[in-house]
Amino acid sequence: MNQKGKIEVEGVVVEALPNTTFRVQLEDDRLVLCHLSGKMRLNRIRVIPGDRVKVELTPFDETRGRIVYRLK
Amino acid sequence: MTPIPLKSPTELRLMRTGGRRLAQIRAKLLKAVRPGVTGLQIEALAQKLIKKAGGQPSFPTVKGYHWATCINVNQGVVHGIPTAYRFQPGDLVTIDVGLLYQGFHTDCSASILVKGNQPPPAFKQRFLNVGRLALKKAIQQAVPGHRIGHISSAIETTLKKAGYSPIRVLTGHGIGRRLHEPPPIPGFLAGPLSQTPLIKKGMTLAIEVIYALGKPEVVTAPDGWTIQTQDGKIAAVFEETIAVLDDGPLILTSFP
Repeated sequence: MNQKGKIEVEGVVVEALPNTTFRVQLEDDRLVLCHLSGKMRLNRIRVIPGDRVKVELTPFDETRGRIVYRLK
Repeated sequence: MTPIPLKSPTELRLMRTGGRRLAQIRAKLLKAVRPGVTGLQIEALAQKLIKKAGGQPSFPTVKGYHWATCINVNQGVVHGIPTAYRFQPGDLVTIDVGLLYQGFHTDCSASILVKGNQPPPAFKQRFLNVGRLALKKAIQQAVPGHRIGHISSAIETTLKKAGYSPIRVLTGHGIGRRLHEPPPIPGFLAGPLSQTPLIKKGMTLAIEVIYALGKPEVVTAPDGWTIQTQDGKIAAVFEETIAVLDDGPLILTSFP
């Protein structure tokens, strides 16, 4: 499991793509392709364009992320 | 997609004043770029000019960013923190500056080559000219009834025709009471045109042409903010804030 190096950022979902991938725009305007984390899928949490979400980024590829939380 | 805020004529007039002052500030900042000058000096000048214009810098409203400008050199694309690096003749310097005036943000950028004893290489001149042209064509598409996709594809085709690449992870944006508002305005067409938002009168958009000479992949530098090209080739940004009126676009960040 990736213990170090991952960055958490907040962003807004811009677009919903197939296979629960979403395009998210971060606070500094970067667009990231994200997929829904397994825990959110398991708990059947729905994400829609316009939601504010918490995204996990890996230092190995900054254009891909994982949506881990939906903020109210 | 969250609704795109529209501005009333009074609000647009306020933004026009702010935009005009910001455009004057940008022109002075660009003129100050000479060999030996540092990013920190440009930043200090910007803060002084912004205060004199009666507003505040926009960028410190972004969490964690404490400067009024973003200064990017050569392979730096955006979000460059001003440093003590001295500009060299032939460097490509991009200045991004934003002004918060009477409660409204305006945002603009321009890239310039540092003048030296010899004229800069022709390919760099061409690189910048294409960017300026792309922005002009993109702004022309901002007409009520068109879609954001028209702007995006105008940027994309102008850049691709010249052999350059738009940076895919960075976009223009709506602007107003917040520095970044919906919609995002990518420099390339991401999906079907009909699915991009409709452009309406009263929208204020910060249209950005962000592009690189080589491949569009970018990385974030160790300082946590500066974004630069992965292959190390030069990149530039041209940006204006515009308002969409009945008969077409009005560039807010221009003077007179």
